[in-house]
Amino acid sequence: MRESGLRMALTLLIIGAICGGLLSMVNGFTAPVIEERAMTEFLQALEGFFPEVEDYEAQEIGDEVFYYCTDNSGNFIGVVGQVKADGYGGKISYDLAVNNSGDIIGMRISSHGETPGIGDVITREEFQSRVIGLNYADPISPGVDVDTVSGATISTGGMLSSIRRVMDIIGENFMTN
Amino acid sequence: MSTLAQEFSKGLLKENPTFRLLLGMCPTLAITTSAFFGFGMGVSVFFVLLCSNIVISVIRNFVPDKVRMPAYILVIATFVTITDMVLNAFVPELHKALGIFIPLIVVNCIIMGRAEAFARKNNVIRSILDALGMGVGVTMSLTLVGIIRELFGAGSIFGYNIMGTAFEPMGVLATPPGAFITLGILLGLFNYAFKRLGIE
Repeated sequence: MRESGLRMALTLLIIGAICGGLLSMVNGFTAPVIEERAMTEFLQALEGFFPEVEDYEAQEIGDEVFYYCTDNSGNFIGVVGQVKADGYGGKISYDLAVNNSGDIIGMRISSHGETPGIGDVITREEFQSRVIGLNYADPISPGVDVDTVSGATISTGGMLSSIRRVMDIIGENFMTN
Repeated sequence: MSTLAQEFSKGLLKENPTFRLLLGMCPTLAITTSAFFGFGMGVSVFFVLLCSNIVISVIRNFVPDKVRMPAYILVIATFVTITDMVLNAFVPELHKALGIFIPLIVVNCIIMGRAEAFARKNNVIRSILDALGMGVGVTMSLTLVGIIRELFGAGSIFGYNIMGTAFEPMGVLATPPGAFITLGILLGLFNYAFKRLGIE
C-alpha cells in the first residue's frame, strides 16, 4: 500500500473529527448533571460554613461568583467565594468562606489536579488550618504570617496568593467598616 | 487458528492480563484498596477495551501503518474521556476515588496491548470476544486484589463487615506496600497453580 503524507494526515483528521464530535455529544448529556451535582455540593458546603444561613445572593465579580449570605433577620453573616487558584497541575477550584468580620472560617477544594500525596495537601487539615482564622486585613503573605508546605510550594503558594487576591475582593466589596 | 470460544476464554486465566501477562500493573497496585474500587476500575477498563477493540478492528484496513499509533491513541482517549464524564455524572463517589487513574486508562498497557497485538490483525467478532475475555479477566483480577486487601486491611468486603468487631485490621494492606505484597503472593499462587495444572 502506498502511503502518502496527505493520506496519513487525512486519516488522522477524520478520526479526530469523529472523536471530537462524539465527545461533545456525550458532554452535552453529562455536563448539566455534573453541574447540578456540583451546585448541590456547594450549597451543602455553604450551609456547613454558615449553619444559620437563611438566604444568599450570588454576585459575579470578574469571572468568579461570591455568595452574600444573610440570616433569618436579614443580617449579613458572611460571604462565600467560588474562586480559582493557579496550582501545579492547572487550576484549583475552591470555596472560601469569610464571616462578617473578615475572618476566614472555612474552605473547600472542589476540584484540583495537584499531585496525589504531595500537592493535594491543600485539601487536608495540614494546609487548611494554616489559613483558617486569617483576616482580610492580615498580610496573608508566605513567610510573614503563614507558611507554604515544604515539598508542595507551588500548590500551597498558589493557594495563598489566590487567597490574598480573593480577600482583597471581599474586603473591597463586602466589608463596610 | 484458535476457535471463537478460545478467543474469549484465553483472557480469563491462560492469558489473564493481570496475573499472566502482567499488564496494567499501575492501577492494579494503586486503586485496589477496596473490592468496590477494584471492580469499578475493572469495569472502566473493560468498557474502554471493548469499544477500542471494536473500533480499531473496524478501521484496521483504512489506517496507514505509520500513523496507526496516534490513530489508536485518539480512539482510546475518546472512550476514556467518555468513561470519565459518565462516571463523573452518574457514579461520583467512584469517580472521586479513582481520580487521576481514569484518565490514565489511556496509557493502560492492556488496552494498547490488545489493540496492537490483536484488534489490528483480527476481524470485529474475534476482537469483541478478545475484549470480553480480557475485560472480564482484568475485572476479576482487580476485584480479587481489592477483596483481599479490603478483607485483611479493613475486615470487610464491598463495605460489608465480614471479620466481626474483634478483628484487628492489618492496616499495611491498604497502603501501597500492601498492594505489592498482595500482588506478589497472588502471582506466586497463580504461577504455582498453573505449573501444577501443566498450563504454560
